[in-house]
Amino acid sequence: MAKIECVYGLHFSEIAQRLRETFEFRGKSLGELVDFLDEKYHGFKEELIDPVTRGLVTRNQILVVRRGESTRPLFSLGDKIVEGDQLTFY
Amino acid sequence: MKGWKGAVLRIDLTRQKAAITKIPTETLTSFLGGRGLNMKILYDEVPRGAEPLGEENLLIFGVGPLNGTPLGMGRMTVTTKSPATGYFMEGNSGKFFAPNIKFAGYDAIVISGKAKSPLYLVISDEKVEFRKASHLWGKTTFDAEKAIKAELGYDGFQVRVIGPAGENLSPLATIIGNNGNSGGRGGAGAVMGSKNLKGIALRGTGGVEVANPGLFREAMDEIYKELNFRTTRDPYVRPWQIYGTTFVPIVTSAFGAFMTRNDREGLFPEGVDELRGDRLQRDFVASNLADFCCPYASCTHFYEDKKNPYGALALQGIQAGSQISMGAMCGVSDIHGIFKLTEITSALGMCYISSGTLLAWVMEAYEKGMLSQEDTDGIAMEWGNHQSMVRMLEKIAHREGFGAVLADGIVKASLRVGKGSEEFALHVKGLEWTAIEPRAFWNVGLAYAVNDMGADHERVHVPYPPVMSLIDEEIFKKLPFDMKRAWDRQSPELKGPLTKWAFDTRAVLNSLEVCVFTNRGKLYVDFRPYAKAVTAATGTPFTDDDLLKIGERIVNLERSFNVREGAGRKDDTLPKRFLREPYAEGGSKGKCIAPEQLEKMIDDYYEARGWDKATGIPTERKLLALGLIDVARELSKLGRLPK
Repeated sequence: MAKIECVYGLHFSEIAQRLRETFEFRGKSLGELVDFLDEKYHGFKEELIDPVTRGLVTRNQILVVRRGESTRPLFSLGDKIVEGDQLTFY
Repeated sequence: MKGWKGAVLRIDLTRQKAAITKIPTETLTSFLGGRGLNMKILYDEVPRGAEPLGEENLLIFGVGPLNGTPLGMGRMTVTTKSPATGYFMEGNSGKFFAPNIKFAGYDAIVISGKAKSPLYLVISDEKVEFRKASHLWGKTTFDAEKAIKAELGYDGFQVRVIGPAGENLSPLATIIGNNGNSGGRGGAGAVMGSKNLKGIALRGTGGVEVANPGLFREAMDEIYKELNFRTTRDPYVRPWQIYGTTFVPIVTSAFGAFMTRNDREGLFPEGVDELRGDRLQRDFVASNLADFCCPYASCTHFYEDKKNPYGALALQGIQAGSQISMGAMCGVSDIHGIFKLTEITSALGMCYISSGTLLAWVMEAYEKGMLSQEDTDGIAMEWGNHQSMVRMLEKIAHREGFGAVLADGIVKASLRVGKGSEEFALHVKGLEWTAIEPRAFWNVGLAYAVNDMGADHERVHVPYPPVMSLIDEEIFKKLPFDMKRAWDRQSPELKGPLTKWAFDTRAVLNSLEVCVFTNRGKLYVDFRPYAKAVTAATGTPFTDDDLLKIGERIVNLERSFNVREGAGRKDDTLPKRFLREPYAEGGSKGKCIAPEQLEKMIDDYYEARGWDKATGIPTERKLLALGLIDVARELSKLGRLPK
């Protein structure tokens, strides 16, 4: 279980109907987080996942701030999500 | 002539005469137009040592070979010698003035001399009228634009005016039109004021002929394909299309680089959700606004803030620049306050970026006790106090009390206040700090340091890298550096050649006068579609390599203008804050550009340019290779060329 914060930028704020939230996340990867968010707010998968390659589309950006590290983009659904992560979707 | 008009409208305010002169074809093919053409005119015609606010200075409005076509997008460049820096300045602005310059039959309008008393110009194609403007002097930009249109009895004129700040010769003054559209950071408004020129009304009734419509259509399709809202694979196309630059705070916050309280902090938690673009879109956007033929159609907006405590406001002009400079930099989290500050700076004819940075410096000095309430005419310059900022902006524009100290810009003001406040006066070469954080994006840090305009963000690609997978490998292979490695954002590695490339490519875009925000997708690195477009428009064949060489020529000419005025490596530096004070938190915390790392990046930049590392001056060999023979000769005669 990891406590994380998600910041929903731009069109993602319309999908989630909120600007940001902090919650306990049971999964361990970005793929699981996208599944979780899509279940909660329908539209994340359609926006983020390429239906053919099943990978992340490049038309959006997901940035992570992990404690003690510089912000970096996530490029793969297999990327890990850990305690304290702040993720920004835009 | 196709694409270009081959003509300059020259207006002598001293003699109240206008003349049309031809531009040699070689000048157009060597400098393209817009920014490049303007610089060629400025270098050739403004003598060394000319006073920026003197009669010898020129005010030049230039457009490019694509203006007036669907790829022109309404952009133009205003160029002059800057009263803020003493070097050249150029500002890029949009909307509908630019295509009307072209439709009136010109590639540039050059204004010289000084009118005896205030006047405004009315330009209708080849006809130029000089009209008295004493009754407009003192009016805000909004009122002056409205009054000029009313006097002309025709709403179809495009109008550019100055406000009180320009009349009072503040280097913070810009030129404004279309109800708040600003251009000319570095004091173009003051230069206009020094000429007693309140405004310009312009309309053109002609058109622009392209040489090869079929090829032009092909180029358009290639360019528009990259910008398609539905099919884009670039993460920055849709945000720009929907929100314009107002999406920036959410991105910079994620990078821990949302410049807050004079950029001592990179996070603005109490303000970010109040002023982010999606919030503005939902609560305040009344309609979309677009530049002439803009494929984005909605990157600027018309805002209505009906419940603003200052009184209902309707304006355009909320951009990242005002969110950051008037907002986070000054600790203002109240969106109504930011609306008012944006409106008042536009009304007074001031740059909201420079003004915000200046006021952030005042607030830090006030907090540290270097300025007292007595010094500031009884105004409490506390972080977040937008009421105080509004009052101080009025004083600056009218040069009243402490406002007169601030009206000369951050360098002179900080020298007058002293007490160590110069240390946190954020500027490069005298131009106040702008919206992108160098500790978070080291390429931007280098670009600001070596930027011949000073702390300007428009001449370098913003720190949003291209999507590498969209770009052909053959294009990457042609680059003299590894683009993929160069984008490591907090390392000095390869920033020199990356910055050279960024400056050169931006010089091309600003000389074609296409909007830099549309330079996304594969266009970011692949300039073949632009080469095809300008070839089709003008009938003169250009390759992408030709365009990049022209960009390099323009940047070298700009540097040479400054070198002629005494500039060199000594001017290429950053404020100490960015070299010694890391952020305490956020996604860029703990990082500074160490002084030796900055010097190393500057060395690398000069090396990539083929400039002398010791002086930062172009070598004779480089100038000759770019065909700048007269420039090399003049700098040599002045003893300015490196041995």
